[in-house]
Amino acid sequence: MTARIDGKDYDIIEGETILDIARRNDIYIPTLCNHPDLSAFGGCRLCLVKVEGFRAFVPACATPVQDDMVIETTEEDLDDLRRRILQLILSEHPSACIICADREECLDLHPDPTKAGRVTGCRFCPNRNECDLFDVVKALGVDDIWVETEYKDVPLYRRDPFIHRDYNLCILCGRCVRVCAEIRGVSAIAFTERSHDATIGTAFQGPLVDSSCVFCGACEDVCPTGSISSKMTRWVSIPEVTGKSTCVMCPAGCAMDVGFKWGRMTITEPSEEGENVAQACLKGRYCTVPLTNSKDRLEYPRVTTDGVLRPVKWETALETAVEGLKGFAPEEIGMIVSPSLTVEEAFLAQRIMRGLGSDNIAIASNMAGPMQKAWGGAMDRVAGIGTMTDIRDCDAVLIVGTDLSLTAAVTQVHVHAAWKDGASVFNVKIDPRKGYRHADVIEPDAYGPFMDILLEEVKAPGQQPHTPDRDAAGRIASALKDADKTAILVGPGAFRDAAEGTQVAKLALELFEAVNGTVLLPLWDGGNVQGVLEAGASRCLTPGQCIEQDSGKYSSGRNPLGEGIKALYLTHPVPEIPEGVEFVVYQGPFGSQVSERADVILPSSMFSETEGTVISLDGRVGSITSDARLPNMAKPDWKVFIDMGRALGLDGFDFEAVADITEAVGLPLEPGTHLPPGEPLPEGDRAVRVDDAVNPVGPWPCSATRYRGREIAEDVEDFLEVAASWGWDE
Amino acid sequence: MTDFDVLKAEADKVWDDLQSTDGVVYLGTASCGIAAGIGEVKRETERWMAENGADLRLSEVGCIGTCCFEPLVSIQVHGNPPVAYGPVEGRTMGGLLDSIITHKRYPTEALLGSIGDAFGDVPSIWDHPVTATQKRIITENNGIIDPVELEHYISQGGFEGLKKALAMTPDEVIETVLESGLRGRGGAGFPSGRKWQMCRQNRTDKSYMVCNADEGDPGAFMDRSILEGDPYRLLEGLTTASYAIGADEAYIYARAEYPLAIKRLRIAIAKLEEVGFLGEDIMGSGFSLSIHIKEGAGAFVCGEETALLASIEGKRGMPRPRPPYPAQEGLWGKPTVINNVKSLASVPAIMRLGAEHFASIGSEGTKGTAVFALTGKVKYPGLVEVPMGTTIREIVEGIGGGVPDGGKLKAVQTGGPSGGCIPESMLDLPVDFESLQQAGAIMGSGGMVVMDEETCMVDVARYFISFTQYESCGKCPPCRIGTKKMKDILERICDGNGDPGDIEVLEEIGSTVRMGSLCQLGGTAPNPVLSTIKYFREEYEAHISDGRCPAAVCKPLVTYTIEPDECIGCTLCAKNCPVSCIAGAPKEAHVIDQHQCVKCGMCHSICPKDAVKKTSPGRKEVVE
Ligand SMILES: Cc1cc2nc3c(=O)[nH]c(=O)nc-3n(C[C@H](O)[C@H](O)[C@H](O)COP(=O)(O)O)c2cc1C
Ligand code: SF4
Ligand code: SF4
Ligand code: FES
Repeated sequence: MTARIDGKDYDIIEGETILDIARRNDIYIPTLCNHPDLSAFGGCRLCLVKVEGFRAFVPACATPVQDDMVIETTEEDLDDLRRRILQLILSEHPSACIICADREECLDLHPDPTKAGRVTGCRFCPNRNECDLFDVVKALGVDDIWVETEYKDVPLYRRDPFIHRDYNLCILCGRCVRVCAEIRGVSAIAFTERSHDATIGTAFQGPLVDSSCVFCGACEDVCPTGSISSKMTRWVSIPEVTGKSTCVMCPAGCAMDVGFKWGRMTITEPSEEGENVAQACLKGRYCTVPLTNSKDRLEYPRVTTDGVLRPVKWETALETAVEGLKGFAPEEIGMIVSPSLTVEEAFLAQRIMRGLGSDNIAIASNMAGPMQKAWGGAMDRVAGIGTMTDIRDCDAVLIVGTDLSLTAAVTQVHVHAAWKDGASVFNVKIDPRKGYRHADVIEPDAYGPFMDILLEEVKAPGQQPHTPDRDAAGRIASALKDADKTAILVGPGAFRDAAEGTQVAKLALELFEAVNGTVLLPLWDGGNVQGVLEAGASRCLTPGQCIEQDSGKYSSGRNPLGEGIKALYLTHPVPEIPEGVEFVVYQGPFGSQVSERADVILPSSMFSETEGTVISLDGRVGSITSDARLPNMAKPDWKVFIDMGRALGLDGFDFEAVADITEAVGLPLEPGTHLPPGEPLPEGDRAVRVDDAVNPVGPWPCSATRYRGREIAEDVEDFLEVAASWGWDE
Repeated sequence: MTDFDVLKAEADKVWDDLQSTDGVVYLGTASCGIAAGIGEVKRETERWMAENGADLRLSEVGCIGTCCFEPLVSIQVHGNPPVAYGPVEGRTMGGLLDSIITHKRYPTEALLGSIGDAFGDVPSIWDHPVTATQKRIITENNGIIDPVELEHYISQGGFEGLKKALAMTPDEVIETVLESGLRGRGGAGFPSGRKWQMCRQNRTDKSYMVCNADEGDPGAFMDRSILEGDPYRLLEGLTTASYAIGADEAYIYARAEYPLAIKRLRIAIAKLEEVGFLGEDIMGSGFSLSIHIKEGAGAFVCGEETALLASIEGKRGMPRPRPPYPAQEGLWGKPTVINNVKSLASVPAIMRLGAEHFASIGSEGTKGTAVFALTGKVKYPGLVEVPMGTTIREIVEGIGGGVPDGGKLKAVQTGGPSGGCIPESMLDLPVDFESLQQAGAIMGSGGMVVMDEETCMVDVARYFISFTQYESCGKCPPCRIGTKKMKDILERICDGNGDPGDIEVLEEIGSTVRMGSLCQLGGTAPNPVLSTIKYFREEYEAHISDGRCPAAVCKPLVTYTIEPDECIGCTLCAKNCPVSCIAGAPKEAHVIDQHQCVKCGMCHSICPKDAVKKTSPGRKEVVE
């Protein structure tokens, strides 16, 4: 099948639009309301083309191409019409910058911080010059406006958390509305009012916090103008340095575009490259930068002398730490590994401990221990099955123990894609927080018993007397069984109690097998739990998750916070320092109640300041890069670990660069690829391989509202407002 | 299920009984009649009956179309056909009944004629100039039968068309409609048969039939009259269409401002379900259909078919680009046909009388009849049904009786707010889709507003563009912004602040809006402006260059003065002026202080001698 465009024939693909085929063949057609990820809108009228046999011009973006269509895209009358339509748009868009004769010079020279409340021209446009409108102006060669211009003068929305809205700049392309509904499944905003007053807003124009908004920033990202802007970045303009990185605020591992200026991180935006399909959540999108630039960072190494923590040189701090640690027998030393460290950092951490001859290592996660117990005995590795994007093809999705609001929030994008294709979505949760709006929500009294019932209903449906839980379980069971492909997602809510968590994890796997599932994913309660496990930084594991408990290689298998521990090396806050501990080394970017009690403090990095690799909840390898300068004397964690290893006189710390460590880990850590999925073992080979002591402590300060133990709200006031409105009261 | 022939026989009997009953009073109780006061007439009739111990039968019928004569009653006695009177009033009703029923005399006052043949001194209403040239197909039962009485409708040939259709294959039905030449009456005039065919070809598991009864044009009430006056006709047409396209579900999208129409539709649907003309296995044919009524919330744009579908789906009423056409992807993505009330109401006659009969009426390109709501400066406003191709002059001057009180006709506006103005010189234009389009107007859904010399064409353009601007959904910039700009400029011109070049800017924006808009709301919105510029350019120029409103309508350009020779000094004007700017002693000529005058026109309307003159002298004189 072919179509003729501007006199040339092109092959066409069934179902594509005129714009699709033009784009494929590098034929330029101006567009504004079109966005490749969103449904066709046909509103802005800039893509009008002439098609033989049609009385009127048709929008290329919304018109399906047909065999033998004859299309003209560039005739003078078309361009003329497009120009006149564009001028009508510009007559209401504060467009000084767009048609100003001095624009080019001005762009280079104009000052960065834009402090005007009202937007009157390019100097005050918050869109950091990423202006789709201007691109079209340039392409069509518009340099004047022939109708009277008018400033709409509608009120600004400046009270919302994170997001400023100024609809004086809005051109009503509707991209924000579509992304919110179609991609995020949220529908917080819609077209409101009509005629010339038509605008975008929430129901009854109420504040965003009272709407279903999840502050993911998707609207800001697709807006072709500066109407929607982040409060945080509108003052800092264009970054000097940009790069690609991965978010570690939660385990979804979103690929991010990051920007730096003045040696500081200034922006994080979801990138096209990851499984997050250019989407993120409020933590990655709006909290990383203020958290990184927090005023409360640990900036100097410190050592306690005479009961006071005093700043010292790095050498002194390390010497003090080495001296302290060496004063104890290996089995008396414990280490807590933060789930926000990179794979490389976690690898070095365990190498220190094992170099010292101790296996007293635990991950600061409520999920890691129970999972290690439940899945570690039944699978070859503790790892999910399938990927986040596989969820899109599933016909039934079961989410247990989370509402996808702050943990792996971006998976909701995939869940919603499945729902749009007709999948049934169930959310079993206990917290009364808002979740995915299209889900069938079930709120049992407890997770463990409910999962038991669910499994029963799958195996022997309808045998037991009706109860509300039983009926709900029956509903889920029949949907899961009817589906060709199912996804089961298990989240941190079910792991508040280690024993219940272990049970839920076990039952989830059984359920997955019973319904012949496609996707089974742990929505970890830490950004890089999977990576830390892969690095072997937990009891009984070595890199690559080889279980070595029975080999007798390590001298102790103690709970690092349990009895007999006298020295602690912490990279994450713990609920409290156990009695009997005499010496504490605390390494991290933020202080805490615990660090006050430390003997040595080693200031280190946030994920946004380090380099290395992280593994997402579905095993995707993400790489972290940064151009940020750390606060004062703080160092990236991996450097601190190297220094520490060397200072302890241990072997295997002669690394110069992160890449060397990556190689030493010995795993296929190719960014963008996935590690192999977990593989359930044959029935007979299953056993409980790790004992209860793996991770008995908790609950850990690792809720979705924290990063490395630090309450995000302490540095990001707006986060407090949002989290509180959602019922996150921690 | 009831056998059709049995039903038909029963219906004929009911109707014949009614016709031969002595003492039936037919009351025109459509919305128009109710608004005009038929309720009072009905109460008076009942009171008269009680007082005189008379046993009259009251039958509530729809609107016969002659709005100018509402409230309208017909009285049937002595074996004569019903005789129509209008306008009647509650207080004259008793007298009327006295003379006809008691004294067997037909008074001549307010007499319109017999609904049937002439007899004695009573002429036939069908010879009245208002009705003589009309051709009633769609509205044939209006004002004659009781709209909710199924037997009445059947007795008039109702459901014979559907019965025939169900005996044919769907393709044969479509073929018949194609042959009849029926074109959509909703505005665009798309051949209905072709639309049905397209939908049938695209049918997969499901398709929908939708009746567009949104009728959002201000001043238009044709669809309402049909829904209120003959709902079964629409339902028969809708069922026939659903059968043809293979839909088992149909929607009627009716505006919520039509409560009476909706009520009668609901009653009618329930009755049809009862006798098996709707629901499962209609007339034993195996064809099933359920009809839903969806009430629209009164947005003009929701009459546009894709916006209408969005609205039924519960979404914001915003149009979307076509293709894909609704016949390809319509309601919930399924092939859907949307037809106007009048299009569907034409179908029963086509099926019953045959395609050739329908095709024999009308003009070359447009078959059948046109239904207009004739309003404005005419003697006999009302609902008019004429064969397509009738000239505008015949409608306005023949049926409408021309401009009342010796006024002079200036222009006729057709097609509702987005139609165009046709000047007096072009009144011999025949009404059909093509000729109106060529003249810069449109058929639209059928409004026809007559304007006389006291109408300012710039003001008219301003009025209509304000309406379309307000009703724009806001989706596309040409319509959302362009109509606003045009409205702003027209307001300036009407305020006397027009600039040279405004006309050209209006034309340029107008063509941008016309060519660039997504839907035909925007596509036709500039029509009133462009057509008035085309035919009445000098009026624009007078406003812009002379500051003068030739029709003396635009307030800022109007001056009120008192002609000293004609003023008798009665002081009425001075007493009534809200800003007390009229001076003058009793019995002496009064004078208006121009600087204080707020141009309310009170003095002009109150002066018993017409000594207050309303003029628009233009800029220079005002300065003096
Ligand atoms: C702004 C706008 C308003 C419309 N309003 C109506 C209406 O009130 N009634 C109607 O039947 N068609 C209306 N139409 C036309 C419909 O879109 C559609 O063409 C029509 O219902 C098709 O029916 P037909 O083929 O029987 O004419 C409107 C169109 C536009 C653009
Ligand atoms: S706010 Fe931005 S994305 Fe939304 S409609 Fe306006 S211009 Fe488009
Ligand atoms: S032309 Fe007007 S009513 Fe139609 S889509 Fe555009 S803005 Fe909406
Ligand atoms: S890009 Fe096609 S109409 Fe906007």
